Amino acid sequence: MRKIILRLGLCLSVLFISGCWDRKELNEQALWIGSGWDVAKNDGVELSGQIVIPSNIQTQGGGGGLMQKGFFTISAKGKNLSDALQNIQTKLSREAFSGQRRVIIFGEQFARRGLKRQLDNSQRRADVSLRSDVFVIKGSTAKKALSVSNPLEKPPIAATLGEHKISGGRGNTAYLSLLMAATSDGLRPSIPVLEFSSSLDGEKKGNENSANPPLLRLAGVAIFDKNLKMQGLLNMEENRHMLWVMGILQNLTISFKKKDMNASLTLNKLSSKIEPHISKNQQITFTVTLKGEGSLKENNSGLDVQSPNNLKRLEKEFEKISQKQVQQTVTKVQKKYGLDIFGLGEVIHRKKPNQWKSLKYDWDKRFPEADIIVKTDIKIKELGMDGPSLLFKESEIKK
Amino acid sequence: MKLSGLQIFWLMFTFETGNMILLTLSPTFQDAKQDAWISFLLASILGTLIVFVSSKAALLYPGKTLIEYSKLIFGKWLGILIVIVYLIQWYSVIADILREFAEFTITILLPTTPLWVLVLTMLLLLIYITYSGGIEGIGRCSEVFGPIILLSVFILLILSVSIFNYKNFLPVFSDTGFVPILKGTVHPLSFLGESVMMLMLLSFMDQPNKGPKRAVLGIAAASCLVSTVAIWVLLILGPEIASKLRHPAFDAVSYVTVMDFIQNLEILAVLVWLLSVFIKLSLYFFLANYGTAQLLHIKNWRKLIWVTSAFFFVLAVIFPNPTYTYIFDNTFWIYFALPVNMVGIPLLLWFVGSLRKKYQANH
Repeated sequence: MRKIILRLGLCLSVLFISGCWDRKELNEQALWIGSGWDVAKNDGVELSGQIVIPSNIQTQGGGGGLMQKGFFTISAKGKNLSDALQNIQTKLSREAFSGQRRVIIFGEQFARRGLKRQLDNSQRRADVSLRSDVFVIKGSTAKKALSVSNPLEKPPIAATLGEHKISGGRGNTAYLSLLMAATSDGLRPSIPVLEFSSSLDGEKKGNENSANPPLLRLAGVAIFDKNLKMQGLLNMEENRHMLWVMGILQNLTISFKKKDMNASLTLNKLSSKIEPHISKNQQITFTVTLKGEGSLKENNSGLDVQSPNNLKRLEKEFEKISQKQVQQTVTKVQKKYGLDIFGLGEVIHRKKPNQWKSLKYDWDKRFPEADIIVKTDIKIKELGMDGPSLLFKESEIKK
Repeated sequence: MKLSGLQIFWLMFTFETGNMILLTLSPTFQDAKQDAWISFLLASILGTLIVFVSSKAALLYPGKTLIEYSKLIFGKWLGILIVIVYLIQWYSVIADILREFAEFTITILLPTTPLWVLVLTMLLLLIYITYSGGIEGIGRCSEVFGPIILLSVFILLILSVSIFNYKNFLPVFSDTGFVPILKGTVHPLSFLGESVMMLMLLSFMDQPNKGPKRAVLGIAAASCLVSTVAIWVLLILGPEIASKLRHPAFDAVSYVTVMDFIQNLEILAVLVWLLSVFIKLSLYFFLANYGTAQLLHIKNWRKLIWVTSAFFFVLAVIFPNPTYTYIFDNTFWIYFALPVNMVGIPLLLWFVGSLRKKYQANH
């Protein structure tokens, strides 16, 4: 009798094992890999999504024939994300699955209107990862940005992630750093910016199968105030300087050009050290020491870099040019926007917590008045394969 | 039914870690911000004191459970009152944990499964292990599960070293101060204090003398692990975000990625958490049944299981919404269970019990 009951029980348990309420078949899901946010009427949002077409994503090509697009873009309007998603679902035959979402793009207008009352859904849901990249699309809407295909990447949104990573930026930690900046008193958020471009600079943009297909390019960084409203833009070079000051830049190539020479150095070990100083009359001074080590990539001159003096001279030139540029960027941010995207306030918070208590309430007023002194310290660690450039004659070489 | 010293160690370790990691981080970060790790270290010290006191108190009457010796120490009626205070704690917390388990599983894994199914499935497991294994079965389970938990947390920590942001520690102390840090201490302490169940468990040991040391070691290991996890969350998410998320450790796990191909490890973390919650529930389940049976002088405590399970099921399903478990943790557990069940009564038992023993020895 007991055995029979046991067997029956075992058979019954099969019903539970399959998890019949929550089965999620892959072919009943729409893989949602990129989200776009745009403004809609009455303070609403327009949500767009880039969705993978699984049958077109296989890498083994079946011989000739036209390349099939690996994605499509879908969008709908609503009061907020969930409302818009419900409207999207009316034209999407499969359930949108955001577990693989890696990129979020904001339309510029949307970013200028403000992010504060919009983004909660991503954290409230358990299946969406905090590890996402986030961009603002310059002068356009996110749904257009999500519709641009890419010749290399089948789901094209992966291309923006790749561009961001390879340029030494925050990559897929950008979303978390946005959240951190939003909750912090001494750091204003900054989000990388994308713009429309094409494969060949200066040529007329063709269609996606032509020799000059449209592309999305990284174009700098958008500056936000503490209400998470976009206030302005920095270009790509200034973006790198900003990241260097923040200490999160991964790589940087500095070049300089004088009348008899030009040279380039790629830094791959970058660091930043910030010392705050507050004088008796409440004048705040920051000393930003930027360090970089890297390898010489170009030396179009007769300078033989094997001699220590010449190497020193090159290092000095690189230090001078990078110091000047970073200082310019810092001053521009201070004077034009007055928003502390570098997180200098957080440095005071960490190093002089007692003084910070009174400063934090009007940091947006105090930051533009602060003195920021940039110093650079650059070391060339690798020379490459030649001493002077091979194109120079013996008589032109400076030992 | 006998427990070895090693089993006590793993029991203490296993039942504390899972739920502490899931539930105490967020409130502690709310109070103590980036100094939450100090709160956790303080709680660790106080928690080991609690388990030391309660196992010392139980050691006064080896072989007897709390139900028996509380009557010997305080007399019949006061003894029964003390037992009832503990039974209230055990009964209510089982329903609370069952509910929390079901809700969390629904949120992250099984969004459309009805709540009662999860509660029922867990209850069936509890009935099985308690009925057929008793406390020894639970002890052996924890010997298997404990190392798994330890190992998986360790692996997670190693995988995420590269994304640590050490600046999140600063500034130490000046943003918060004594009062917020102590306030933060209360949350982990109220979980570590659950180790007062040593008052009961010691009587099941084959060598009770070893009990206090093993239990203290177990709690120390558990609190070390939880403190490490708290520091890990702080280094990845920072205090502000960690205090706003309900389960920051879960989000921190999902943030871990190795070379872009080991990702979404949170499901593994949830499985490990389930092991710990299972041990915790089954311990309480056993204690509630065994304790009630002893109090009511029922010979076969196993028969009671059917009645109590029905009660737990109803209690777990009856909470109208998730805020009730939150309120339970933040009111009854902190303002009543912590001072009375975890600190007050064990101290009294130890103090009065030792006096009584001395008095008896002198006469």
